[in-house]
Amino acid sequence: MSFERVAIDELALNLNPLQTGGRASAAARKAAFRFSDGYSVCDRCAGVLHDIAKPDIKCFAVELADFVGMDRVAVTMGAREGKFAIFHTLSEPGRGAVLDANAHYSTYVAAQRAGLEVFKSTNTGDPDFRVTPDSFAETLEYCKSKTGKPAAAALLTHVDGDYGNLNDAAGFSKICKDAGVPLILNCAYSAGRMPVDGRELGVDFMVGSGHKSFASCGPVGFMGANGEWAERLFRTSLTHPNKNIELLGCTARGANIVSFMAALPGVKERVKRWDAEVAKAVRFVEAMESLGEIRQMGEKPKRHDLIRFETPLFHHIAENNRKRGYFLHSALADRGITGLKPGQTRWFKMSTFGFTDDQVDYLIEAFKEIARM
Amino acid sequence: MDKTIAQRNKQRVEDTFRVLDLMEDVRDIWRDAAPLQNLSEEGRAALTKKIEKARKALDRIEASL
Repeated sequence: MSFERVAIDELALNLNPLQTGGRASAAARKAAFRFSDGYSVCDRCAGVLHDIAKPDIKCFAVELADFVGMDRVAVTMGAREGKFAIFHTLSEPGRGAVLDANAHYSTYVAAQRAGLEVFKSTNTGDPDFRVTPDSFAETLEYCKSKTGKPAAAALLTHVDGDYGNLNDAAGFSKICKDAGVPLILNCAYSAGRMPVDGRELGVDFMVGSGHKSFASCGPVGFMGANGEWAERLFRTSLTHPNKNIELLGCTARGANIVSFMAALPGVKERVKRWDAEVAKAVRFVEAMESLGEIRQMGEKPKRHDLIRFETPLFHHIAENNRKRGYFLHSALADRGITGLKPGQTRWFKMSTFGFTDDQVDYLIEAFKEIARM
Repeated sequence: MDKTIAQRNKQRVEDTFRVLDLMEDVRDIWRDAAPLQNLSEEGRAALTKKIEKARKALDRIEASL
């Protein structure tokens, strides 16, 4: 059995947006190998994971809640587990969940698993693919007319994984409040990369991803609630009063949670540099589009590092290249660049997050060379 | 357990983690310099320092055997 990883970040620049924000910091990796044994955080556990003081998970949960502006948070195994827990808390037979048009598949699955009927809003289509507050309000109304009750929950993807569009969560929050529907903000691609404050945005619930955006080993993430919702989300078992129902008692309890804890100080620092990250993405887009026959899709100018390109330029080169559709992946690999799907030339997604300016320059030069092939 | 032995064992394990920690720092140097790994003067100096520290820790482990 081989454990060799396909993309080794010490050797190659990994452009996959899934990978860039979750590239574990040295602090996170050092913590992880100290806690690689299965139940390694449980030596001093008195029965509640989030009350463990050594390692200091109790303080971490408070610190994390403060960082993301939520009254209370708990560590989960990822954003999707948090979404399911929240949907499950709010679900009632015959009720619906309203989702934005750019929601991740795991949002649908989480709502469906919780027994909610899914109502999807629209987006503006090509070229921006933006989700508008109006379309969200219309979908909330449609859900109510179809089910006879307001939606049990609405979920807004703060930054989507297809286009990297950043939604104005505060605006959506107001619409949901007016409709009497609690709003979940999916921050898998935002919290940990950029400043996010749930209270300022007026959201009721929030989920985030440690392995996607907090420079942590996975699987790990968090869910949070504000105000009265916290009591409902973090309700405990009648038979086991110190065990949270939605957390199934305990969640992450090893290398994943301590790496998340160890990564947080560095994450707090890096979100202060968010403007520079966005500027890097904008600079990269300009350089790519200057090559011709390349178009950035989604909102412009970029307000996030996840970039989707439509790339007829590379598709045309592929038609005359002996490697056909695999030429782009191969040409990038030859230059120490990875993260694009093999065979993909018509379009691709990527991220510039965390790369140095020199590395971004290197990427631009590499794509320029490939464009001349 | 005899205190001397306990102290020796503790030191060995601490040194083991020290080496691992230093190597994680080295990984970051490679990551920041990927893919060409052309190190600046500062980068080279930092790397050399990490290696020296790791070597000392390894020497201590070996000497304790």
